[in-house]
Amino acid sequence: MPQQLTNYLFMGTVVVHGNGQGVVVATGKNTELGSISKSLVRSHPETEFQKGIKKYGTMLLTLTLALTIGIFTLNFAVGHYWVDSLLFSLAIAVGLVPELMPAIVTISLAQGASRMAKVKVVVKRLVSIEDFGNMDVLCTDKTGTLTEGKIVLKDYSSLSEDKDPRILSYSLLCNNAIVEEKIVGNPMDVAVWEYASENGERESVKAYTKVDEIPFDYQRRMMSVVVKKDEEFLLISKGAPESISTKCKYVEVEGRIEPIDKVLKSINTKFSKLSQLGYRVLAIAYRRVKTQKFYSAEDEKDLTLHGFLVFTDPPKKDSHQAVTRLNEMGVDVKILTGDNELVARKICDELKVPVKKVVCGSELMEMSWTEIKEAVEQTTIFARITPEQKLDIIKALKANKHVVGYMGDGVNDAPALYEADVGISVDTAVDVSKEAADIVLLDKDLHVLADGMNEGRKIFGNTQKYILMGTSSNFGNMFSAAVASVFLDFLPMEAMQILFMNLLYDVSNMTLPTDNVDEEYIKRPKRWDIGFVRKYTLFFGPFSSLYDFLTYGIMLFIFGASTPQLKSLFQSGWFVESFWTEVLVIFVIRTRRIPFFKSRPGKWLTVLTLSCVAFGTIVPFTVLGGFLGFTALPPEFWVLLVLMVATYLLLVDAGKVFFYKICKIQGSE
Amino acid sequence: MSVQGAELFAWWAASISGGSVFLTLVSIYLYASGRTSQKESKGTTMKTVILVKNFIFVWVLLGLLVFYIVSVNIGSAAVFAAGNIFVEIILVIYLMKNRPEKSEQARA
Repeated sequence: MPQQLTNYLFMGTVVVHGNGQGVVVATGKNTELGSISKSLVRSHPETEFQKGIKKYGTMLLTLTLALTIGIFTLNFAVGHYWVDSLLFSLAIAVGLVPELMPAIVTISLAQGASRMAKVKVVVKRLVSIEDFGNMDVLCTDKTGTLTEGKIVLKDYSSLSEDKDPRILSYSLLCNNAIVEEKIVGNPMDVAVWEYASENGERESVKAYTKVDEIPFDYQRRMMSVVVKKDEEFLLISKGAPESISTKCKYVEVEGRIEPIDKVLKSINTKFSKLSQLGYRVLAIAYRRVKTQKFYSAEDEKDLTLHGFLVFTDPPKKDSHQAVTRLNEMGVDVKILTGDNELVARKICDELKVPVKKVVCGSELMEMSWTEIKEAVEQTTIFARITPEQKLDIIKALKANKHVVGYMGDGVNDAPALYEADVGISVDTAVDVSKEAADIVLLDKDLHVLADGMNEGRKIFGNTQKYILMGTSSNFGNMFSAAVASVFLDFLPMEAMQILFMNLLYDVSNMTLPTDNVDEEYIKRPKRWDIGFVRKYTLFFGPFSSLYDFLTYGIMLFIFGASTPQLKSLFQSGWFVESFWTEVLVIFVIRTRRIPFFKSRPGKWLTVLTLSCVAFGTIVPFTVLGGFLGFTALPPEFWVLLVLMVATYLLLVDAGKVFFYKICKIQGSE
Repeated sequence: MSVQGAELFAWWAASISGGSVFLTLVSIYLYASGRTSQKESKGTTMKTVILVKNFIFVWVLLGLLVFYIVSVNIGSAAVFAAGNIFVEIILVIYLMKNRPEKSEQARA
């Protein structure tokens, strides 16, 4: 148990203060953190789509088992030879199982991933594509998505508005950027160094030696360093003004040191004003300290507030359109930022992003779980929040049955990226964040995200078509075969004929992933709704059965194929009719438009479907047909078949009017 | 079990009628559950005319059933073909009348 290893320091631990000596006993994947990271990879949470597929599988398995057992029992009871009955019931079971489903889903996802790559969206985890398309809440940070993502130090000043060079020097000293050929690190630290480089002020810190550092953390929202110059030790702190001001006792105004209480109001006003203008502000404070072995957060007291650093990150010009586009697509955009409320609000105002409510991290901390669940529904901006609170927000949204996307690029975004239904990172993000993400955008742009989502919705739409096809027409055919087997002297279709029809049907569906999806379908996010699939099967399944029964009537009473000697005529007639209806109904089912031909099917779907229909039509006239037990059909049959199938397709289309328009069954959206 | 002639016809007619009745019952169930979820039935008395209009699809279905049983019983391909064409015309009219407006289609 790691908890029992009290003299161990684990990888990833942040040392708040103090020092010590130790021996490294494990590195990388051999550490406790490494094993956690391995377990995270193994147990990625199930996506909404995977859950839906599982429910669908259970429903289908129940149906298939019930029908197969029922058919075998009935056939055996009415006197059919038990081997024939068993083979027939097993063939029906095979007919009911959408064995092509894994292939359809995989082809859809792979093709979708390839199309998404063209719109600068790289899919890391294929199963997340559907959830990506169907997410209805997107949590994102502000920097780089709503703003240009380029933080620039605009200005620095003391409280008396003068440009004291010490403020810049102190901010260069209290800084974690790595300054080599290129300056890398925290964007604000980098911005300070870039400013100093451009203005030739980098040399000002050469006289100082860094003695110790008290690192930044989200609770204190500040960092400090202790530096030495000419035997004088100075503690310099830099951080959020509201945090720094609580640690200050004095303030430096025009070279004079005064108690902070006198000017606290004007400091707060200045800070508010700058924030309201959309600037990000950091405060700089200092105090002289005695030499000591170590320094800790407890030494951050009695500071003298010296001045402010004013940063700007201009809003992106097209962010408003991007957010509006996402809203129109049914996605609620929530901003999770470490910045204060005023800055976040100002950016939203500039971009005309409607803000319903703002909640700060401190408020969130006081809330119960139920209150958080309520708050996340109405809130647009979460300001000054910690990485743990980001996680809470995502968990609360998921608990409220939302499909949640999280977009982030920092180290502290990794847990949230992992917890969200869809973790979205960007190409320029840190490795750990890209590792935790499902989707990586090559541009940190909400338009790129929206383009990718459209592709995700198309893939979901085409997968749904296959499922609805399989559970309606396929189920109807198998059901009518089962009923006919009871009152006929012979099997309505031999096991091999059923399997052959099933194979042809599957081939005809192979190009379904390339089908067009109606514009109105991809306008809103969709959810897996097993209740909808059940109602759909219950309503559209019997249509197919009715026309199968009708074909039985025609074959038995118009063409007289009622004896075992003429069974091949009966079977051929039913094979052709059920294959036509089963395959051609895709053109009606694939769209909610009325009439169905108002929606243009995909080129390859049309070609392959019609080719399969043509092949199925000529089979009874071929050697293969003879081998399968089929026989040529009389010319009158073909006339009746065309009329009957036309009526069937029109009736299913009319059924859509009743199902979608009159009963208002839409599925969960 | 071997069924022939009139008995076979009775079996067949019972099967196709059973299918149609099942579909009618499902339609009623879906209609009722759709109305409940929309809360449209609350406080309003559904007028018979609207009910009859909304169920046109079911009337067509039941009409088709009668026509199919009669035409198969007669055993005439010509009657069957003519009847189908007639039903197709009715269905096309029904579909054209229920074609959604452009704005409605966009909202869907």
